[in-house]
Amino acid sequence: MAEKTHEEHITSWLNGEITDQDLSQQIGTDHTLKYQQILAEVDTWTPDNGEIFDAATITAPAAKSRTFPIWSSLAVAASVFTLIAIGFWYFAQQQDSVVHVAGRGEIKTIDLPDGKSTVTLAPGAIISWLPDDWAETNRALSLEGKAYFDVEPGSPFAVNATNGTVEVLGTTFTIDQFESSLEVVCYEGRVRATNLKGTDVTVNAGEGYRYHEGTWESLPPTYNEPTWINGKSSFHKAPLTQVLANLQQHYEINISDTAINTERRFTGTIPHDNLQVALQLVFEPLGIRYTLQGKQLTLSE
Amino acid sequence: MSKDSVCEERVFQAVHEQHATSLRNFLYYKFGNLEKARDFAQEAFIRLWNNCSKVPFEKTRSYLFTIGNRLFLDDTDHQKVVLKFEKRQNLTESQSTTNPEHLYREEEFKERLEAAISALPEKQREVFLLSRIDKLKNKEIAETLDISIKTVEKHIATSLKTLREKLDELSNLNL
Repeated sequence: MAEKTHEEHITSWLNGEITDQDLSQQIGTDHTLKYQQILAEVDTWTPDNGEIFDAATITAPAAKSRTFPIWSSLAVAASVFTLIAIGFWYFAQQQDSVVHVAGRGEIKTIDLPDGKSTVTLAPGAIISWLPDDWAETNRALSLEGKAYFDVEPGSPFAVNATNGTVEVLGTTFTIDQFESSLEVVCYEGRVRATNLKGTDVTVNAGEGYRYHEGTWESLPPTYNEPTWINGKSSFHKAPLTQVLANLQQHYEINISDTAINTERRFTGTIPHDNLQVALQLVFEPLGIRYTLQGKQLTLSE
Repeated sequence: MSKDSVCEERVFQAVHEQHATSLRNFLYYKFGNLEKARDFAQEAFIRLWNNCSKVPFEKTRSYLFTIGNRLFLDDTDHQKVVLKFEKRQNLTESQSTTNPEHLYREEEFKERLEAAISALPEKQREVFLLSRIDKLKNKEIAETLDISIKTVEKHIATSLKTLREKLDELSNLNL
């Protein structure tokens, strides 16, 4: 084996494989002591003893998403104080909020704090709740995206969705949202769905309603679990925007749809595990051409 | 993703706790401007928060370092790197009294060492300081900078040797 270099001796010493004495023998006491002095000095350093910025200043909704030039130390001190104050306030308000997220391509079932009800999140959906609310027997949730709920009877159960509110007593149902539309399908029991304008509709077991372009449209009867939980998505006269949002989330692709008319409707069932088949099923009947490059899907007439 | 989603405030807090200082320090070692290092580190965290759903938990550290680095590269106002350090306030007894024998004279030693470190090639400087000041393990440095552990070891040893040579040169000049 070749003779070790000066640097290799240093590495062995730093890694604790040889002692100070060993290093002195190899490269001399003078060098060893100098290295020790350099390291002992640098080891005590820090660029700055001051506090690093607070994470709460970022997660607070009021936090600005850019940094500012420094006008004067007074202004900076004042703004830092304000941000920290907002941070503390926000944190005190939000500390107990529980959040669950389903990643793209991921379906996730979560037990709700009443110990009996569950929610199944479609890819990209976010659900959150305040345990304090649930302790007071007010079962309230916030939902972004699409989810299927299995609710055990009990105290009032309400989902504040981005595009409306759905209240129930005990039932199973799915909420789907795309753009500003809301779709609710009820499998058991009965729910009331209210859109952001305050118009409501009562959805009985087996019924489904979609609020799209200002009206509630009824969907054909369904009694089983939603198909999307079992690897397929079914659509009935669904706006193309809803189908595209679904493809995007399940297959983790980006879709460029500017060149086509997205107001057309699609009826059919598409798989979640075969993109080629899904694309064929959706676009061929509608006469839409598509090209897939990597994760980018481009549509044209 | 599941419960490790960065979109959850508690997870984000933990990520911040773990990486904020070493990101700020890394940017300082690399570009030599403490104020900007702090601003850009903060900006990187803001972008992480705004894109939290797109960044898987395991990728957060390399995401933060990549963004911080890019912010500096996009910033046109590059200066010569002149690093200055403070003594850490929370030093323990053993850390402050390690070496019995000082061959370099105490006066001006800190300034000379700072100058010698500032003059190191960028990669060596980053690795050396992340190792000594931030006390990162070689494996952690390798993962952060996407280089091999061998390279990390080599950078540290070479830095140390270069620093000694530089300090010897400076003390000889002053004799």
